Amino acid sequence: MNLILYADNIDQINELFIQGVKEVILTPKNLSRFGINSFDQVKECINFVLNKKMIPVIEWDILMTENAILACSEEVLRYCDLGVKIFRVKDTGAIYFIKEKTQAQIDLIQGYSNQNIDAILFWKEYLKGRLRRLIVSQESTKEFIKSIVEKVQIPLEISLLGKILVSYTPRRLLVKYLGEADGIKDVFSLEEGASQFWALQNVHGTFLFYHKDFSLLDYLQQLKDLKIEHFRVDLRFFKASDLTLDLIKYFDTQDASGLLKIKEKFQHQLTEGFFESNSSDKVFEKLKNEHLKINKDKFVGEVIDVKKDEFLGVLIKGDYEISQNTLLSIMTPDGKEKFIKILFLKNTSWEDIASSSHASIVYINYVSGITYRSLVFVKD
Amino acid sequence: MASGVPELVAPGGSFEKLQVAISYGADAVYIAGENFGLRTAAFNFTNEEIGKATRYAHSRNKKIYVVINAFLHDKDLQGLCEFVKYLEDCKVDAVVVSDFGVISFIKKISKLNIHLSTQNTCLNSYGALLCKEIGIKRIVLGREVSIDEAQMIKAKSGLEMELFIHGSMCMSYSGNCLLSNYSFNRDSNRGGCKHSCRFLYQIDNHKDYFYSSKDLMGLEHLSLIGNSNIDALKIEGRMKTLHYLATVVKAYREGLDQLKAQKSMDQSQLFELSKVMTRDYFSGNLITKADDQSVFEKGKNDKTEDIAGIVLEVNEGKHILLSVKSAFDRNDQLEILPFVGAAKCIDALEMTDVSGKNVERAKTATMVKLPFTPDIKTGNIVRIKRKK
Repeated sequence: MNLILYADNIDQINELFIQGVKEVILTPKNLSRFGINSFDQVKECINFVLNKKMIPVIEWDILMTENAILACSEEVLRYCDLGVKIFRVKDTGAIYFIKEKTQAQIDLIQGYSNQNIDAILFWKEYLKGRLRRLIVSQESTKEFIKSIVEKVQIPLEISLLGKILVSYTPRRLLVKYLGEADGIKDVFSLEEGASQFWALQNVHGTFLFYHKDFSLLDYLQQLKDLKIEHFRVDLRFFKASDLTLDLIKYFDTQDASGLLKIKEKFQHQLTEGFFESNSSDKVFEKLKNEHLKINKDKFVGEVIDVKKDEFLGVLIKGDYEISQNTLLSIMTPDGKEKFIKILFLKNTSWEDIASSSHASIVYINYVSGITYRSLVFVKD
Repeated sequence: MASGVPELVAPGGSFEKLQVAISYGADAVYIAGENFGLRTAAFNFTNEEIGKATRYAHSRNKKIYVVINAFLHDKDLQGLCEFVKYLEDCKVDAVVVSDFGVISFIKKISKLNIHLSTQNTCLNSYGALLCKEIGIKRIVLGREVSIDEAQMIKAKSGLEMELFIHGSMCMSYSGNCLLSNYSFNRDSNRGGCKHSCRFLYQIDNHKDYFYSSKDLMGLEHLSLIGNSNIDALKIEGRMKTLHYLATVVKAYREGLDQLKAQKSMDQSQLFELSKVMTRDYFSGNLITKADDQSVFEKGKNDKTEDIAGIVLEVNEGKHILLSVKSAFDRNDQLEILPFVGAAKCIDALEMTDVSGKNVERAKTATMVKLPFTPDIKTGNIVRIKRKK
C-alpha cells in the first residue's frame, strides 16, 4: 500500500522519506492550484526526491486558456528533462499535452466529470499504457469505486483526508478584502439552508471550500478490502506539525486510538461526503411537474385562456379533433382531473364552428377549477 | 459559418420559445429532452416534441441541437441508447454533450454530429486537438476564453468553434461547481443547480454578493468576432423569458446582418438589450480577463420593460389576439417588437376579451383582442412601455 502526500520543501520531503513514504506530489506555482514554488524550488525538490529514490509527481490541475497553457508548456517539458515521469492532470488540454509532447505517464484526476464507467473506460482506452492511475473524486460513492475496481481494472488513488473544493473561478474576488495578496476568508451564507465556506484567493483565482473537511479514515479497512492500494492525504492547509506522523502511523496500524488522536488534533469538522450514498438527484422528480406532461392518449391541447363563468380557450396541439358534445378530461397543473362535455365550440372571431383543427385556438364552455396550462384530452 | 458571419445559436426552453427564437433570427436552437440535460425544471421537450421541433426548424432552414450536457452517473444512462437513436431518426443537426463516457457511447451507436458542451471546460488548443482525435465536430468553448484565444484554438485544431456571446455567467468554471451538491444535496452537474453563487454572503462584517457574476454581453465586439473565423455565437438562457429571448436574438441577428453587410453597428440594439432583465452587462472574458469588477453587487435585477404578451393570431383588418404574459391596463402604452426593424407603439384603448366584451385590465394567462395593426405578425412580442 502506498500513502501519498504533498511536500513543498526539502525538510518536508526528508521527513516523509524517514517515515517510509515513497511518492511525493510537488506543486509548481504555475501549474498547481495551490502551488507556492517557483521552477527552481521545484527543481530542487525533484532532485532531492530522486536522490532518495522516491517518486516525484508533478501536479498540473489549473484549468488553462490558450495563452496560459502556451506560457507554461515549456516549464512542463523542463520537469520531464529533470526526470519527472508522472503528471497529475485534470484539463483535457493538459492530458493531450502530456500524452503527445512527453513520454510521461498520467495520473488522471477524475474530477466532477467522469462519473460513469463508460467515461473511465474512455480514458483508459484513449491513454492506453500512459494512464498510470485514476485519482478518484471525493464525490464518488463506495459503490462506484467498487464498480471501477471490478469493471475497469486500473489502479485507483483515494483521498483519505483533505479539504473539499466546491467551486473554482479564475476571477480574484477577494480583492476588496485582501488587496492583491493571497489570503483566506470565512464566508457565511445569509440565505436559508445554505452553507458556510472558506474562500481562498491566490494568483490563479478564487477557490471555495466546504466548511467541513473530507475524511475516509474511518473507512480505510473497507477501502483496503476493495484492493485499493494508493491513498492520499492532503495536509497543505493544516498546520498541526505532528499530524503527518500520526497519520502515517495510523495508516500502517489502523489503531483505533491513533484515529481518535488524529481527529482530536485535526479539530475541523469532518464528513465522508457522498461516500456512503449519493442522493443529490432525488430532488429532480420534484422539480418536474408530472401533471404538465402529456402522459395519456388522445391529447387535444392546452388551456390558454380562462374567463370565469364564461369560457375556456384551448390551443389545439394534438391530433384529436373535438366538436360539440365531445367529452373531455382536463388535467390541471396541480393534478386535479375534471370532466367536461362541450356545450359550445367557437373560434377566435367568436363564431360557432363544427370542429377544431390542428394548431387553431378554440373556445368551449367554462368549468370551475380549470386553470391556465391545464392539459385537455378526449375522454375514453 | 456558411453565410460569412457566425451562426446565431439561441436557447429553446419550450416549443413556444423555439418558435420565438427562430422568428427573431436564430440560425439554430438548442433544446433538451426530458432527461440528460442540465435544466431539470425547464419545460423540456418530449421525444415527440423534439421531432416536431426539428421538422419545424428544418422547414425554415434552421438547425436543432439537442443538449445531453449533464455529467451522468451509471444509473442515469438508462434510456440513453433509445434517445440517441431517436435523435438520429429525427435528423437533429447535432447533440451537445459534456461527458466523455456519453460521447464515446454516442460515437459507437450513431453517426450524430457531436458538439462538446461548455460544461466540459475546453479552454485551449490541446484540448481541442484531443476532441478532434475522438471525432467531435464543434467545441462550445468555456466562457473564460477570449476572442483572440478562440481564434487561435480554431486555427490550430481546425474544429468548429462556438463562443458564448450573451447571457448569465457561472462565476465558477462551468461544470466545476459543487456549491449546490454540498449545500443542498442537489447535483448541479445533473441539473439541480440551486444558483448558490447568487446568494448573499457575509465576509468579515460586510454583506456581499461576491460570487454573483454580471451578465455577458458581446454585441459591441461583433466586428472583432466577424474577423476571427469563429463559427457560432451562443446565447445563454433556456429558462429565460420570451421577452429576453426575442429581444436578445433580434439584437444579435441585426448586429450580425449589419456585419455581413459591412455596415457599422446600429447602437439602438444596445439600447434594446437594456430593456430586458439583466444583472448588469460586462464583456466577460471576450477581450480581457474578468476580475472583481465583474461581480453583480446589487443582488437584484433592475426593473425593465415587461412583456405584455405574444401575438397568437392576426386576423387581417380585424384584430390581433394576444396571449397575455404580464398584466396591463387599457391605458398602458404597448410596443410591438417586429421580427425585423424598430419597435412600434400601439395602444390598448380598444381592448376586448375574445367574445368582444371590453376589458379594462388584461390579466396574466388570458387572451385579449387588440385592434389590427399593419405589419404585425403572429409570434411578435408585445411589450409594456416603461412609464417615465
